[in-house]
Amino acid sequence: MKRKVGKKQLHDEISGWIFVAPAVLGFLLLTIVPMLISLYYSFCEFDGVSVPRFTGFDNYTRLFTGKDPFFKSAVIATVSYTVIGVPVYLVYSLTLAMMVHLAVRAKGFFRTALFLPSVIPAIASCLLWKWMCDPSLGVLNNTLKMFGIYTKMRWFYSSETVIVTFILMWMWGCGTTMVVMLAGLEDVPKSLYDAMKVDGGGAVAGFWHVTLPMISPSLLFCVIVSFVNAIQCFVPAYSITNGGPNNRSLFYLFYMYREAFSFSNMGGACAIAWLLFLVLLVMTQLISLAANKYVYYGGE
Amino acid sequence: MKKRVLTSALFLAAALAVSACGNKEQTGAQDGGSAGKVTDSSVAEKGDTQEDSAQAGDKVKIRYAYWGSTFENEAMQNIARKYESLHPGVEIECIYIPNADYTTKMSAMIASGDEPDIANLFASDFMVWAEQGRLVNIDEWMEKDERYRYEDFIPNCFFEVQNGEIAGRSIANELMQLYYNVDLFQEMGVEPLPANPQEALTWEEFVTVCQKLTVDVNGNNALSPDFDPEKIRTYGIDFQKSSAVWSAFVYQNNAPVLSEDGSEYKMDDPASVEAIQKLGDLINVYHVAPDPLTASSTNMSTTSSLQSKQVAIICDGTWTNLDLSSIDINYDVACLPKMSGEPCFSSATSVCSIFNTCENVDVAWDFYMFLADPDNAIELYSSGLWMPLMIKYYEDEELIAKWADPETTSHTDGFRECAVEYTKYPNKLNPETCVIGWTKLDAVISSALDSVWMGEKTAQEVLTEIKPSVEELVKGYIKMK
Repeated sequence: MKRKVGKKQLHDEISGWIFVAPAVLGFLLLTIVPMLISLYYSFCEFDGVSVPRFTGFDNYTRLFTGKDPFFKSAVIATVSYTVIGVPVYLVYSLTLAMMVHLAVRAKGFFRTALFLPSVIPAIASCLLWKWMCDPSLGVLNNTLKMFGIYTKMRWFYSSETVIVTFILMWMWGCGTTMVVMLAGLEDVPKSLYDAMKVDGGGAVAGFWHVTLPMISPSLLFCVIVSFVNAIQCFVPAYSITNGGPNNRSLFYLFYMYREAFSFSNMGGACAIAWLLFLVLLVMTQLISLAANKYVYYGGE
Repeated sequence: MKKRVLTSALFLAAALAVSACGNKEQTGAQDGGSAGKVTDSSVAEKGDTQEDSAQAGDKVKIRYAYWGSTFENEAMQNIARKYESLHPGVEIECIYIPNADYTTKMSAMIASGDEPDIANLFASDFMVWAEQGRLVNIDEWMEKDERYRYEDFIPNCFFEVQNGEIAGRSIANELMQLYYNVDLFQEMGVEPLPANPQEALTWEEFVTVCQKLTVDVNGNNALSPDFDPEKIRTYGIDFQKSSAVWSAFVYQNNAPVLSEDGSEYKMDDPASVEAIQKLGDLINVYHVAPDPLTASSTNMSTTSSLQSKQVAIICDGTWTNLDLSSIDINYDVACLPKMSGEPCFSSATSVCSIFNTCENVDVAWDFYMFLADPDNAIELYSSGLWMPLMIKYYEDEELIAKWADPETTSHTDGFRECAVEYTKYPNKLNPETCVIGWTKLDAVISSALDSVWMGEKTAQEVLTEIKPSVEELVKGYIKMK
C-alpha cells in the first residue's frame, strides 16, 4: 500500500535537503569533482594549459621505472622525515606536556610559552629558522662561537643534517600537540594513581599502566595528525632549502608542486598526488586498525 | 504572485552577479584603425593628465609581463610611461612578477585565458607555449615592418619553433662578467682586475687575487699561515649557484654542457669537470668564496654584499650594472679569468614574445620593437640594464657612446673592453637560453652540484653519477636565428 506522505513531512524533508545542500554540493563540487578530474589528468600528458592527451599509465610507470629523476629522492626524503620525525616529535611533545602537567608553579606561563611558536605562521617561522641556522651569520653557530665552540654544523645546508634540522624545527612548533596531550593528561582521574600506589606500583608503572592507556585517544589523534603533517610537509622545503641540498629535503609535496608549476607537468603531478592519496589511505587504515587494539576509550 | 516576484528577484540577482564577475574590459571603439579595447573607468583614472583621462575611453591597452629586480621594475615602468607619452592613444600596463613565481603565475594566467599581450619568458616555457601555437609568429611582422631587418640584429637573437616560425626575440643582450668593489681593492692594495679579455688573469693568478682579498676577523688574508677559514670577514669572490654562472666558467674552459648537436650530455667531459671542480675549490680548498647555499640563506643580494664589502668580487650578468649604478658603490667590471686557451664570452638572455590572444598585435609589435631599439628606449641601455640587440650599437662609435660612454651613462670604464667589444671573441649561449627543457635539466644538475659546493663530493663523481638521469631529459637546442 502506498504510504501517504503528509504535507508537513514533505515540507520537512525538502527543508532538510535544502539545509544540507550547501555542504553536500560544496563537497561534491569542490572536492569530489576536482579529485575525479585530477584522476583523469593523472592518465594524461597535460601541462595545465593545453588540451590533455590520454597516455594511459605512463605517468605512473615512469615513477617506478626510474625515468623520473626525482621520485626516489622525494620518497627517501619524506620517509626519513616521517619515520624519524614522528616518533621524536610525539615523544618530545608528550615529555613537555607531562612536565607542564607536573609543574608546581607557573603552569600557565610554561603552557603559553611552549604554545607560542605554534601561533607564528609557518612561513614566518621558516624564515626565522633559516636565519637562526645560517652557518656563518646564524644565531645558533654564533652563540656557540661566543662560548669558544667553533662548530662546522651547517644545519639546513648539509646533506647529513638537513632532515634533522627540519625535525628540530618541527619540534619547536609542537605547541598544539602538547596542548592536546596536556588536555588528555589533565583528564586522568587521580584515583587511578592512588589505586596503583596501593598496589605497590611506581612512577614507571603509573606511566605505562595508567597514563598511556588513559590518554591513548588523544595520542591516537596526535599520531594521525603528525603523520599526515609529516608526509605533507611543504612550506619548509619551499621556503628554506628549495628541496636541496642535493634533493635531500625534496619532500613529496614540494616535489609534486614543482612538477606541476615549475616543470608544467600537471598530468605527472596528478599521478604523484594520487599515489600519495593511496598511501595515506592505507596508512591511516592501518593506524585505525592498530587503534582498535591499543586505544582505550573510557566508556567501553 | 509572491512566487513570481521572488523568481524575478532571484533572476535579477543572478544576472547582476554574473555581470559583476565578468571581464571589466570590453571591446570598444576603433582607435586609429586598430581594434581597441576600452578600459574601465578605474583604469582611465590612472592617466597622468586630464587630457589622458579624457581620451582614456579610446585607449588601446597593452599588458606587458616581466620579472627582475625592483630597479628593473622601475626602469620598465619608466619606459612604459615614455611610450605612452609618445603614443597618447596607448596605455601600457606593466605586470611585474617576482622571478621565483614567474612560470607559475604565467601558467595560471594562460590557463585562465588572461595572458598578457607581451611577456618576457624563460626559454623552457617559451618552447612549450610556442609549440602550442600561443605566440605570434613575428616573422610576418618583421617582413611587414620596413624599419627592421634580421641582418640588423646580433646572431642568435630570434627564437625559432619546430615549424620554422619565429616566435620570440631575445629580451636583450646580456653577458656574464665580474664586478668588483674598487674601494676595497684599494684598501687591500690589490691591483684592479683587467677588463680586456686579452689581459685576463690566469686561473692561478685569479685565485691568488681572491686569497689576498679574503680576510678573517683578525685581519689575516687567505695567503697568511695564520688565516682562520672559520672566521672570515671578507670573501674574495661570491657567485650564485645558477647555471648562468657555472656554465660561463665551463665555457671559459672551452668545455661543453651538451654535445654540439644538443643530443648528448657532456658535463662529464674532463674539461667541464675541471671547471666545476675549480669553482668548488674556491669554496672548499682556498676558502675565498662562501658556499652558495650559505650565501643565499642570508637573503642579502650579491650586490648588497659587494656594497657592504663582505665580498670583493661577484660574478653576474650585465643587467647587474643597473642595480650597482643605482646604489652607493664605487665599482668596476672585469672580464672572467682565463681557464684554458682563448677567452670565451657567455650570453645569458631570455625570450620576449607576443601572445596571439593580443587583440592589437600592431600596437603590441610597435611597443615590442620600441623596447628592442635603443633609438627609442636608450635609457634601458645607458642605465646598464640591457645591452643592445642591434649590431650597429657595437660598431658605430657615436652610437656606442650613446649607451656605453662612462662619462654620460651609468657604465664604468671597464665596460667598454669587457662587454661592448665582446664581438671580437667567441661567444656561447648559456644553456638556460638555448637548451630545450632546461628548467628540469637544471634541477637535476644544479641540485647534484650542491654536493660539490659543499665539498661533500668531487665534480667528477657528481657529474658522472647524474649522467643517466640527465640523458633521459636531453631534448636538444632551441633553433636560433
